[in-house]
Amino acid sequence: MSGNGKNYDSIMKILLIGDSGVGKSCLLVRFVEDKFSPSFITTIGIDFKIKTVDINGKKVKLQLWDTAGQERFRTITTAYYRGAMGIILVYDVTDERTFTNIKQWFKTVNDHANDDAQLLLVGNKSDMDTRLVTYEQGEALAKELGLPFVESSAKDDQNVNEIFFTLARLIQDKIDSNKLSDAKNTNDGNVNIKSSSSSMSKANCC
Amino acid sequence: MIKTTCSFENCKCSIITIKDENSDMITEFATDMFNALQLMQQREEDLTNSEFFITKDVWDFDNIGVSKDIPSEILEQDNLNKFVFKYADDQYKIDRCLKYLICADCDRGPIGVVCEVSTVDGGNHKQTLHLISLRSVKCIKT
Repeated sequence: MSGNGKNYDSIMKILLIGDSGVGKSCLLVRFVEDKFSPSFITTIGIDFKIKTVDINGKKVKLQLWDTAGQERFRTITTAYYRGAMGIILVYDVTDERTFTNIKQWFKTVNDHANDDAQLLLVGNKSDMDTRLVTYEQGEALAKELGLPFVESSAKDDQNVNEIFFTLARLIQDKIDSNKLSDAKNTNDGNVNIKSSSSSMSKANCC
Repeated sequence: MIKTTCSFENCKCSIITIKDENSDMITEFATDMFNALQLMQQREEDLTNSEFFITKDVWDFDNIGVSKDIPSEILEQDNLNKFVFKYADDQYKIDRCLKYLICADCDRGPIGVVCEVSTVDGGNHKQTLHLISLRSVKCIKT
C-alpha cells in the first residue's frame, strides 16, 4: 500500500440542495478576497470539501458537495445523489419562493436519494433584516415533512460548522441505532433485508 | 510525524498528517513549479524548500477544499510535463493539472494541486495524484 493509511472511522457524503441564490455555496465557501487568495480560485469554484469532525469519540470525515448551479436547469443527476448519507435542503428566509420550492426539492430528493439518507432543513441568511419567512414557518414546514430544522447565517462560521456537525451526528446516531436493531433482529432470528447500516459504515468510495 | 496546518494564524486548520512511514512520499520539485502552478507561497522563510507531499487518496486529508476543473485560460498546461518527480519507485511527469487544493476553513490557497501523471518511460502508469505544497502550509514536526 502506498497510501497514508486509513485514519478515520467513517466517511459521510453530504449534499447541499435548494434553489440557486439561497446561499448554498456560501455555506461551503467563504471566498474572502485578500492578497493571499487570488480571485482565480473564486472564478473556478469549489467541487467539494472534506472536513473532519469528532462524533462520540469517532473520527468522521464529511465530504460536502454543492450542486453548483446545476439546479438552475433542474439537471441534478442521479449520480449526484448516489451514496449521499446526508442532504441539506436550503432556502433563503428573505425569498418566499425558495421556501415554497422546498416541497418540490423534498419530492426530488425522495425520488433520487437513498431511503436512509438523513435530511436537514436549513433557513439561510437569518441575519438579514429583509426576512420574509419566519422561524415559525420554517419550523412548521419541517414538522410537516418530518425533518429537523435550523436557521443559519453564512456570515457566522461557528453557526455554519454547527449545521454540518448536527447533520453528521444525526447520521451517526442513525448508524448506531441501526446496528443495535440489527443485533436485536439477529437474536430474534429475523433477517433485516432493508438495513444498510453495514454498507454505510463501509462506504469507501467518493 | 509531520502535522501540516493552514499557515495563517487566525486559521491553523489541520490539513494532513504525514506519518513517518510515508515520509518517502515527500518529493522535491523544481522551484519554478510554484510559479508555473500559481501556488500560494506564504512562508517567507525557507524558500529553498520545494517539497510536495504526494497522496493518491483524497481521504488522507483531514480538511481540504477541492476546486472544480481548472479552465485552460487560467493555467497554461503545455509545459507542465517538464516537472519530473519520483513517486513509488518510478519517475513520473505531470500530464495535466486538474484541480486546485485550498484550505477547507478559510479558503486560502492554492496550497496544492490534483494532477494527472504518467511515468516518464511511457510505461503508461497513468494515475491521479494529490500534491500538497509544503511551502504553502505550516509544517509541525512531532
